[in-house]
Amino acid sequence: MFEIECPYCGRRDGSEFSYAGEAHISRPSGDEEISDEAWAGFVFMCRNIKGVQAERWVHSAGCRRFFNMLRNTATDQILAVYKMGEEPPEVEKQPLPSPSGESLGSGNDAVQVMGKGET
Amino acid sequence: MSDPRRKSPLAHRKALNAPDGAVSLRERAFLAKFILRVSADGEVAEVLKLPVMANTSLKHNGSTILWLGPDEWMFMAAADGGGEMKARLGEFLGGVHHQLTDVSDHYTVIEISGRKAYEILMKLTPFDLHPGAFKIGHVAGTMFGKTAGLIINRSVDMPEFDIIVRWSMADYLWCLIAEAGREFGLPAQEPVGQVRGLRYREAS
Ligand SMILES: [Zn+2]
Repeated sequence: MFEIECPYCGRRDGSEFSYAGEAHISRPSGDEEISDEAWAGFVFMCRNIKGVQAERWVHSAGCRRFFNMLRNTATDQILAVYKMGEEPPEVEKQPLPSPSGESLGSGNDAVQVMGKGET
Repeated sequence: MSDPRRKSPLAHRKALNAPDGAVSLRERAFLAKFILRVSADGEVAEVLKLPVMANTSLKHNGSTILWLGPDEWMFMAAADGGGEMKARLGEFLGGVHHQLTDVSDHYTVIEISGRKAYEILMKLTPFDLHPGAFKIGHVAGTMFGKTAGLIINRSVDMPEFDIIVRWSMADYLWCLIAEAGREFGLPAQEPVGQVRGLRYREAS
């Protein structure tokens, strides 16, 4: 069972939650003047990190509030949960072993391991 | 019930009772329900007696107030108490930035009670309903099978829960609970939504 800590309701089953994309992406301002490229960048281009990623989640079956989460996309380990508008808390940037036991990023050189703040 | 033409989503169902009072199932139709969204800062929470602690509820002036979110509450009252409740809320909220929505006909309430109620619901939801965790008066939004619902612990001497469910999912949840309760003697219920849909397609 996959459990998530809602910042309002507490620990609940993962099936009550929905993923809502990468966090801390701000919508470009000035609707009409923005180029198609800028819009495409905002709508479609995600970083797709293997490692610790800041994500938005919503407690869709519970309090229906959005919140942010720092999650290791390779292991599903949740490192932190924080409210909308808050800065991501500092977490120890320590590469965790993947479920199969190999270190992050090994086995596929095309995949870049990214930590928090790296681009 | 003021309007005799009004038909509840489970009007075609009769209350179910398992032998020996193991479990009973009935609809509490037409309860007045309002959703209030307002900032809990200031005196609003105190004046309206809003339960500010997550997943709790309060009884006040004949209505039950449920916590739905950090700035969202549901007010429930008897079927005919809606107008009065709305007027009373309006009185306090006049000068406050808020949103008040009548959701009486958006949801209905299924009541499940009896000493096996807890065992039955345990099969349908991932939420921890153990009385040690989900205490009397507590409320939680969670999943029941494939539908979302809001559950309230109304137990007094015996387990008793209200599940607030969307109108269109009420029959689904009713049949699901009956199915889960078959081992305790609840009769099987045929989901009529599907049968009706079938007839409609045949006719067209
Ligand atoms: Zn929540």
